[in-house]
Amino acid sequence: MIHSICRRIAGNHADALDATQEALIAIVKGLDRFDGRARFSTWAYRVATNACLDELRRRSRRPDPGLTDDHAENALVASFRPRDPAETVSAKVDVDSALAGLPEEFRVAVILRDLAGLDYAEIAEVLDIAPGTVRSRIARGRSRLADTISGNHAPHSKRQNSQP
Amino acid sequence: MTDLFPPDDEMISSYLDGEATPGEVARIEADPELAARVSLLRAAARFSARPVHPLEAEVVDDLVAAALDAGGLPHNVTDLATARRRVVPRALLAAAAAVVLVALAVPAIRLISNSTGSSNSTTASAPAAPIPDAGSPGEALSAKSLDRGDGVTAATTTAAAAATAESSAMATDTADEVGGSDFAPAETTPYVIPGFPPFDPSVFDPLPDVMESVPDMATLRQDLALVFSGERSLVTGVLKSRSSPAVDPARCAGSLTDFLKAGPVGAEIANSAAVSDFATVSIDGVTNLVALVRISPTRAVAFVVDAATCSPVTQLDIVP
Repeated sequence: MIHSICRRIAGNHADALDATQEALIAIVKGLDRFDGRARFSTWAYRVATNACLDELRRRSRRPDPGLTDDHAENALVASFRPRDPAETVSAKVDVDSALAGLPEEFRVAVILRDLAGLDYAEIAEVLDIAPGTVRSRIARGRSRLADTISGNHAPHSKRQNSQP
Repeated sequence: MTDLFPPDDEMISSYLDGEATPGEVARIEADPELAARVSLLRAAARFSARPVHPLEAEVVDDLVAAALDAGGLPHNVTDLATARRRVVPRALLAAAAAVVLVALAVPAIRLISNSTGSSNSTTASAPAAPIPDAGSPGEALSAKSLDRGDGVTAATTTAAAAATAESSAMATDTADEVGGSDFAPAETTPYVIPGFPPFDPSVFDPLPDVMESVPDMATLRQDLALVFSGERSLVTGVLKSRSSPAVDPARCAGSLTDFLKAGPVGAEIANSAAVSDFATVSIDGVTNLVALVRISPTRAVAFVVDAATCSPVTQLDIVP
């Protein structure tokens, strides 16, 4: 799962591998500091997520979806005929590309929720933010993803609202 | 940062996660416009939940070893391939133990019953005790779960165990949530049939995890045909949950694989499709696992196995 998180945060295989390595090293080195107050998995997610982000920031490199190894997955997608118009477009959109289009704070929250399956309280603990902020970040991330996979990249024309 | 953002999306997103307040839930379910937005955000959530291709076992070994080195900790991680090979000797050991037990039992039986004929047949049947065949497709699937276990237990030092325990702890945490299953959660461990692409629920996911009861196979076929043609949506009003303990295709993976290959459309399936969706359905009081396989834009096949025994029940050709 740590690799999966790093993979989606990084957006490409090579960076994800390096980030996973850094995450595992951080976990091993940080074992002494695990005090048992949180679940081990939550603590490990926290260390791993931060390590992945740190590694990518060090590289100061945007995710490169062109290096993805999801071609097989996309080929499978193309072999089906989705009924939902949103799915029709999503079948043509690469997950890494779509996630790369999100601000980092939204992307990480969405990944921890949808890919890792953490609940809001756990994500709040992992990211050291308030649960309300988690809720907001996930919603904003999904909202933008929905725009991407439905082919609507323009600002929302209906019921839109400007929020800080 | 200024962000144009539909104000209801936050409520809808938390509704999808089961984190909305009762008032928010009531408001969403009463408003068709919000319901449409629910579908779109649900598609987004499924999209971002698409599984990542897992790393090769050797790569994982290298990553763990390098992490232990970097942490200045000793390590002696057993190679996964080596650990995998140990499965067979264990099975052989069990078979040998069975032979020894029978060999010891036969004289005793002779002494007790004074019968000479029955003991020979007992001895002859003992070596035929089943030995796992790691080469069969079904066993190959089972071996994946076994590998995870070995990957954890094979780490012979405290440090290695700690480094690998995180995946075990996470799997255990989630397993608790899905009712104590021995398998990793479906979200993170895509069901894979050898030779087929991974099951991706975001691609074709027409079935609820748990379907309503049907009286017989004919009704099930009829229902699936309606769903397949888009004339009816079984998902309406059904709370979908990928972590439902009722759906555990991995448990019946071997049976499903054999069934897929043995079916009359096996060749077509091998050439063109993967398992599209799973569901459990109660048919005449018996809980069955249904694997829906889409083999063309206009045709699907449903494979039905008994969820309790994993024994094949039937195969239904679905043509809307």
